[in-house]
Amino acid sequence: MSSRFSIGIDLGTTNTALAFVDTVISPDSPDEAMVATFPVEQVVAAGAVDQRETLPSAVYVASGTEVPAGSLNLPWRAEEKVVVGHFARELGARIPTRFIHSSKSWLCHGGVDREAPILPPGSPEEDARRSPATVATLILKHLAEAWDNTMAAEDPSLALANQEITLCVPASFDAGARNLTVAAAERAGFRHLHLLEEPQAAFHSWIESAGRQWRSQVRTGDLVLVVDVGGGTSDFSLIGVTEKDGELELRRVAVGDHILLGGDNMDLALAYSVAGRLEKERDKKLDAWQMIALVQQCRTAKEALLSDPSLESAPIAILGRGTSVIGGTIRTELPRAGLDEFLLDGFFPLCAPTDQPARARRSGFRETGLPYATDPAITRHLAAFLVKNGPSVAEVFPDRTPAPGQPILPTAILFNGGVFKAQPLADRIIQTLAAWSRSVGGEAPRVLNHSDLDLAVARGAAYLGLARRGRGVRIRGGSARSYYIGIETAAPAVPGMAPPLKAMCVVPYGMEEGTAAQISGREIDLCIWTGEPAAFRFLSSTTRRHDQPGQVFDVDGEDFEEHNAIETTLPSVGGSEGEAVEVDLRSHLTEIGVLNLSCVDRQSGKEYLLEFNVRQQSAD
Amino acid sequence: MHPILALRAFFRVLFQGEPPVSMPVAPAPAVAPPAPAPAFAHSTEPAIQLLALLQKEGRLMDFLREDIGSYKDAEIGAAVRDIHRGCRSVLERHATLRAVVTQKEGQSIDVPAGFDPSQIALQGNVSGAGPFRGTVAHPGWYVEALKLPTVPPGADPKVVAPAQVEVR
Repeated sequence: MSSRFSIGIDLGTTNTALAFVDTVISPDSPDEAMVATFPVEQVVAAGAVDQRETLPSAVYVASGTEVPAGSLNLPWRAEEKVVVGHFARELGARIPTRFIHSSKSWLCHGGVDREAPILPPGSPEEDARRSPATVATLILKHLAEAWDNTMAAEDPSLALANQEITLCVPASFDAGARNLTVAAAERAGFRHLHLLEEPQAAFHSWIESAGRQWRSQVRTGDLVLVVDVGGGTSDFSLIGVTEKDGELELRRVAVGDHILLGGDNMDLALAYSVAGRLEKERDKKLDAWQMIALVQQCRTAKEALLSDPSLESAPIAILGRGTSVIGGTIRTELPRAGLDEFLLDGFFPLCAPTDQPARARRSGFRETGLPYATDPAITRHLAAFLVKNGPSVAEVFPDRTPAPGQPILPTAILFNGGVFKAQPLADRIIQTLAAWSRSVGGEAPRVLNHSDLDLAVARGAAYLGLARRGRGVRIRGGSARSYYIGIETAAPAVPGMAPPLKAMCVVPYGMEEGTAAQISGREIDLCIWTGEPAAFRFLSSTTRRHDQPGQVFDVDGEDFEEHNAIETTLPSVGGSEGEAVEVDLRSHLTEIGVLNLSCVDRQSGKEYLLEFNVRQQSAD
Repeated sequence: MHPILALRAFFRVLFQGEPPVSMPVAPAPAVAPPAPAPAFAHSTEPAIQLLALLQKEGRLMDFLREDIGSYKDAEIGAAVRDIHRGCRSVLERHATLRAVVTQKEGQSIDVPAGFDPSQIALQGNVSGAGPFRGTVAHPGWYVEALKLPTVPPGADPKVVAPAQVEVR
């Protein structure tokens, strides 16, 4: 089925955006495809609805007493409890215990039950709590309703649920987070769905904006680094340009880890530095309301200083809260020296290509908060990414092989995310990569210019919908990780030492969407007892590129990352419980981009789906 | 019973004078009739609403009501930057402003006879009914459109800013 619209959705940590291509009015050549963004109607003030370019990924759950009756109504239905978007953020600044934001960061946090009502974290308001998965559904549902209200008012076949939708997820999302995202979208009514990695979407958006020119701006052998620093997360991907039958081919050859570090951290860092100085001067702490105002002021001051190099400082004023607006104003300024110190040296320090980000010290007790990055230096995270992926990327690009322990160096950079509207921050990344290149006699990377840093992901996803219909180029990628089930080996118990773990590959790196792999359980005598749950430890790797399904390896730390366990229960046959059934495994990466793992009863051929166990964190 | 079937049964009874013997039972409609779309009200006090917007975004009421005589220029300047930014965003979002005349300040202008005195205010050596030739001292302001947001039906339209109470 081909729907009239190809839809792209960027379900971001801080903002959500929707873009579309109308295939009826679009010309056949994908180089001329017209991608449009859909301004989202949302509550913007009590009782007022307006369109905004993006929908803030924020949800506020009202108690019913804080706003006048009818304040949260939408044009298409009355609403009293849950508000999504702009006004949710405004109410959240007033009453944080009923405000949910950054829920996407929780969606990929394996240490919590992502389908349990845990947000806002630590809130005493039981009725306001929602699960990270529910919040994703609420946001997507709002998008669908807003779309249907304007685009499908006359013709229900144009409803969003009937269109082909490409939904973007961070490249670093593991199978569990991807599956949860798809389930959330299905609850919102989406049926014709595909997942796409965000950096790939950004790259497609660049192709779309370059039009016919894009083929002349990259060439065979190019290795493009996509640096995506959004409000809350940083994500790196490498996309290689190869050639096949005279045509340029694009391949995503590496993705980075999920780093919870972004523009919001920078504004906060600035605000805290200014707050510290102010509190010393005034000998009085700033209250929560003043702190919110200060973060906002620091963001504005930062943008002013970064866009105008002639400014020596930018003024900061926190207006008095009471009616005495001038008398109560706290005045200070953000000097350029402070900005350089905090942003460039704090978040983008010049560093050696072999520098590694500082690691968190594991303490015995960990708060169940988000696993924020310990080291704020984005350049060091970048160095680690390029070093880690050097050997595997070099297999595709042998002439770019780095020396052992050295980074693989890109030939071009594509920036994405609102942070890089500040040119000095983009310049610092370019400068850093150029220095690393020069130190090994290479050339500085080129920059692929792209103007639309906020909406690129949604636009690129809408554009890719056309490519999926055979109109335009697609980036080949497949699974960004290889996946394994863990097998604990029989060993005499030694106090203080976990039994050694082996891993059997069930999904190879690069496994294409829409394909499956059969794994024989015979070699390792894989049996499951009927009537009781069988749990498997579940691991993945972003760097092991050659492991084939069924192969077994020793788990020696660095390469493997452990996820939540997966489990299934085989029904007992004829009442005889606890019978051992010999099983094989089957892995299936669906067209949508969801990973299904199942056990196959070798005798009957029956298949039992292995579910991600969300309630229990893997043993470290 | 489906409404059409019910209607048919009714007419059959009306004209044939006997109850229907076996009417096929139609399934009840699965979807409830859609709830009426919520109403979005415009304020009955649009002038107060405009004050409310300028107060919310730019703290204009606080500023105009404050006695600024005792403050230093620098203190006022620092705060006004923010007040200006807020009030300006209200204007940009809700009003479409243009100058009354297209000529810039200092440029010469021909004012025809029978001009609209609410649009053009002549000053100085004015005699007769025109036409006139002069210099633009101020190009004027004209509101092409004023688009005020809707308000919740339950809100008191006379409130410019609610009292803010910090609950501890």
